Amino acid sequence: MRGLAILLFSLFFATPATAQSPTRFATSPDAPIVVSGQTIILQELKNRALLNGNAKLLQGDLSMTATTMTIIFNPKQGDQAQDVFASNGVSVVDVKGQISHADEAHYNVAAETLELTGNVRVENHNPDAQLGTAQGQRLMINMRDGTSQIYSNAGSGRARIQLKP
Amino acid sequence: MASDPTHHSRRVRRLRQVMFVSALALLALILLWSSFGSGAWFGARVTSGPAQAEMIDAVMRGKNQQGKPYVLRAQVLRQRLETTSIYDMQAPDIELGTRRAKDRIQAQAQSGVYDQQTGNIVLSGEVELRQTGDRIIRAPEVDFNMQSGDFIVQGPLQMRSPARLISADLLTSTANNKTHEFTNGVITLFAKGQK
Repeated sequence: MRGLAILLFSLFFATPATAQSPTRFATSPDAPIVVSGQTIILQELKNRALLNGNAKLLQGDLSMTATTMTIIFNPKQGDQAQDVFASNGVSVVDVKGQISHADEAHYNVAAETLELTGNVRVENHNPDAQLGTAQGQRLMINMRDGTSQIYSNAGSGRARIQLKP
Repeated sequence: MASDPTHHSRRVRRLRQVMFVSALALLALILLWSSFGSGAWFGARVTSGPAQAEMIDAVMRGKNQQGKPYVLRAQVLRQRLETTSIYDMQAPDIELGTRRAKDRIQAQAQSGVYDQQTGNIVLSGEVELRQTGDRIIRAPEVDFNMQSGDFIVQGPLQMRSPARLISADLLTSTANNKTHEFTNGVITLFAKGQK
């Protein structure tokens, strides 16, 4: 491809393999979290809300979509959101043009981490970005500073990152 | 000194007249109250016309199927005489549950229609429904059932609590299992200190 050489790393580590992502996600940890869905079922006795149909989470510069999401509230902390779980066709998009796909996601609001699991694929559509694509079984995004790590599963022992030199 | 027999009989006659008029008034009042369904309504002033009976500052107290006490208030209450269990209310004010109850509900609106047979109240016009836990629902129309505590809120509606704001087109709320189902809902989750 014109002007674009692709460098492929196959990173082998002791099981499981870990790769420090060379790019940061755009995150806004102090922004309010806004979630929406075609139906939202708020179950007070279970301290949770179930979102079905085009579920979407937006927090500042980062958004996540999935077919279903579950929000867990902490009644001991005034019903603050504690965790958000997403499943079925999870996509995470930031304003810098990074799109991550996975089977499932877990946003730990208190710990400020977003974990994507199952067939994780990160695509970068920003021409100025260093990262091309990354693949693995688990992607952990630090929502405070935007840094991320991608992991392979224990069996394959490898995570892949394509860089744009 | 002997009393004047003429003066005595005049006083007695007057007393009899007063008692007769009082008895008639009391009877009329009882009949009018009995026309208000179960007779549980009380008001500051009651008038009755050919098409409807009207009560000012009406109050009804009772207990629903679950044994929860309720108070219904209305600035003006009109009973539809063709359907005696249905009342039109101006500025209705509802309380369901005791002040200490964890699931107490209060509702206010500009107007309402109460069906005493079903326990259903349709509240309209800037409806505000408050639940324990500083939760406030604002909507143009709420269909509230006094017997079950269930309600349906027609949107655009907002449910606000200290930790979150939910906007939606429709809300169906079930009191028994404390479940609220929103259609086309958006939740804004506030972090600590955000409003």
